[in-house]
Amino acid sequence: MATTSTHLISQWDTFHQNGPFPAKMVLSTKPEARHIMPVAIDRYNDAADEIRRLIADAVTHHERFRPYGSTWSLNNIAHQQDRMHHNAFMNIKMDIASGDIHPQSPYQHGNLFFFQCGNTIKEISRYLFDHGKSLKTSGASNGQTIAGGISTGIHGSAMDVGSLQDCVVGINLITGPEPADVVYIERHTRPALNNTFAAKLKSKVIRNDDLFNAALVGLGSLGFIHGVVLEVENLFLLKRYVKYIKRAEALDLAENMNFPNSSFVIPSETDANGKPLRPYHFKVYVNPYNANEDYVAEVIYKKPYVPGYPDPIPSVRKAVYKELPDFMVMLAAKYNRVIPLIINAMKGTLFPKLDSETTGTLGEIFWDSLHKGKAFAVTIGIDNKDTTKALDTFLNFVNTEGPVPGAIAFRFAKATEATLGFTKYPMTCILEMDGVLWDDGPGIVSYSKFLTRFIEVFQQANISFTMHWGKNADWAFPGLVDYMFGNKKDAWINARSALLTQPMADVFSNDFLDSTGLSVYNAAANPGLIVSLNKNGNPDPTV
Amino acid sequence: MKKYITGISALICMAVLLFFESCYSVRIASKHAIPEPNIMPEGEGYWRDKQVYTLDTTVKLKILESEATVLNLCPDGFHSIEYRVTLGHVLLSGITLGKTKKIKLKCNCVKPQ
Ligand SMILES: Cc1cc2nc3c(=O)[nH]c(=O)nc-3n(C[C@H](O)[C@H](O)[C@H](O)COP(=O)(O)OP(=O)(O)OC[C@H]3O[C@@H](n4cnc5c(N)ncnc54)[C@H](O)[C@@H]3O)c2cc1C
Repeated sequence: MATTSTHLISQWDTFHQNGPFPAKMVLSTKPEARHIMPVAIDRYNDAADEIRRLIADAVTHHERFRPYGSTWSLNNIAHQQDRMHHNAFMNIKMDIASGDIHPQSPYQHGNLFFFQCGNTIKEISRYLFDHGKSLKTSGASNGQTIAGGISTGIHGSAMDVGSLQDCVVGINLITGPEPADVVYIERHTRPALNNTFAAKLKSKVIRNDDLFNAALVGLGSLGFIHGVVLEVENLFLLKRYVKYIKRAEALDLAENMNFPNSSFVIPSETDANGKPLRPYHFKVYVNPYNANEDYVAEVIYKKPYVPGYPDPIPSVRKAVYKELPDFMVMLAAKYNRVIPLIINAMKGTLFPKLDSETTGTLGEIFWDSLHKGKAFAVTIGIDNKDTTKALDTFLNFVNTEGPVPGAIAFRFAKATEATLGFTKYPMTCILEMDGVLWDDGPGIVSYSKFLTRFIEVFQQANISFTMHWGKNADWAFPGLVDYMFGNKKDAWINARSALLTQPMADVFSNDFLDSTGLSVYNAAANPGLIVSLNKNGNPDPTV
Repeated sequence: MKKYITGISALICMAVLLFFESCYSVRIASKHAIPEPNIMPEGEGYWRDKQVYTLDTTVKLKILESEATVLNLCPDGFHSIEYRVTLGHVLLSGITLGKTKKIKLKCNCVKPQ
């Protein structure tokens, strides 16, 4: 049987020390050992029973229950002060057989894999590599769990692929303590697995695009994600270049994505007519405190997988974003004028190594990240057409109301189908500042004021934006979620209210959800929202 | 007097050199291994998100059981190991002519699959 250890605690914190937050209890479940229960699906169902038992216990004690992954979110989205559940040991992996595929599925069975919630990106990449497969995209690093990653909507800069949740084609949720509370959901327009497979998971099937899209970026609040079905692809290589790029070239590419007609050329990456190829990934780094300096572009091209390339990992490690040392935080609190000087001096460590070329698999290029101190990250999604306006607003803001200890970058991802996915624009430009979490002091804007002013300044500039759910923001800013998502907010609340009973909706809420206004329950939500549909959109009598 | 001071300085320099030479740690990690996570992040730096096991022991040469103890830390394999040598370790080894060695290990195991 799966076993759960109980850890009584007084506080809990994130990987990047954005807390601590008060907390009572952490539960951590390990599936049964393989030699005792050799069949993966038996171990998986046994773990589901254990999670239902833990939820029942939380209900009995009138306490909330919140799963968390690698604690990589830099705010309190993964926190809950009653009972928290650590998922990282729940890492069962299952291949999908041809007989498991839905008759109307557009997917090939060889490209579908089932992963339990606590598998990390690194773990998944390794497993897929052994099958000659790869994730289609990931974030810039590999430590997130699959359930944690999709719950906030993580992205890299694979602009024509999208975000991680866009590779999910099925979700197995546990929404309460009863056996009937285990549901397997998919899109009705693109079903993946058949009813027999769902029956093996002891799950009720709901094929419904709206419900599925709401659950894709569920903020930890649509029940316990026990496992997901991922669509992957054949192993490929990525070739990565880091070059200076003129501001005008970077912004033209950002807004028009017209790579073939750009003056930014990497000579080895052109077509037969000498025109630049469209890359797989395009990311630009900006030093916010030196307007005269060129930007740095990280450009990555997709190549067929051919073994025998030089090991990329040592050189990739050198290029991983490095946080500024602690002394900078101390200095910053007292004398904010030193921040630009330090950022200028530390460009070599803040930005990837210039003129480097590296080849590797997705899992090798987006490699391990290490903890280097307290960090903050502010990340917004904007329409790529607004890149110049948004970047200039950001630069002006940090130069007039700051400076603050961080550097700016922008990346791209095509629109997600997830209802609350922050990469919602047809081509979303993800504009971000990563830096050192500073202490308040006389010489620097306070961290909380910086977060509030950020929203005010962007709203005053009339820029439509969303914010990354796993990053820092003034999440209690009045009307923020309405501003970001308009009536999609209600669509999400309604889907959640239809799927969860009111008491269970409260069990799966937390402070983050309360402060964003998303824990509201609509008792009148249309029950049709959780009806399983066939491909034509009519109720499906077969489930 | 001058000679005396120079002698002391030389000794101090040697001691400092010996100290820096002999107080070091080496960290080795397996490239593709998946680290065993801890339940909650703890401490700072490299080990913050990893379940840490430590071994701080003294072994006498030819006692094989001690080697086995080290391996028992991570039955399925190591993700990373930090081996620390301090001045005390070097002195102990020197005094006992290499027969007694202090072992100070910090490690993280691979995540159970
Ligand atoms: C070093 C570093 C690099 C990063 N790089 C990127 C990047 O390149 N791109 C990007 O988009 N983001 C990035 N982030 C942000 C981070 O990837 C996201 O916040 C991600 O969601 C964290 O995943 P996690 O497994 O740590 O989940 P957690 O932070 O632990 O949890 C996130 C959410 O998922 C929920 N959750 C977790 N497990 C379950 C489950 N089983 N069922 C239901 N809900 C669940 C939690 O309740 C919470 O709401 C980075 C963060 C760090 C620290």
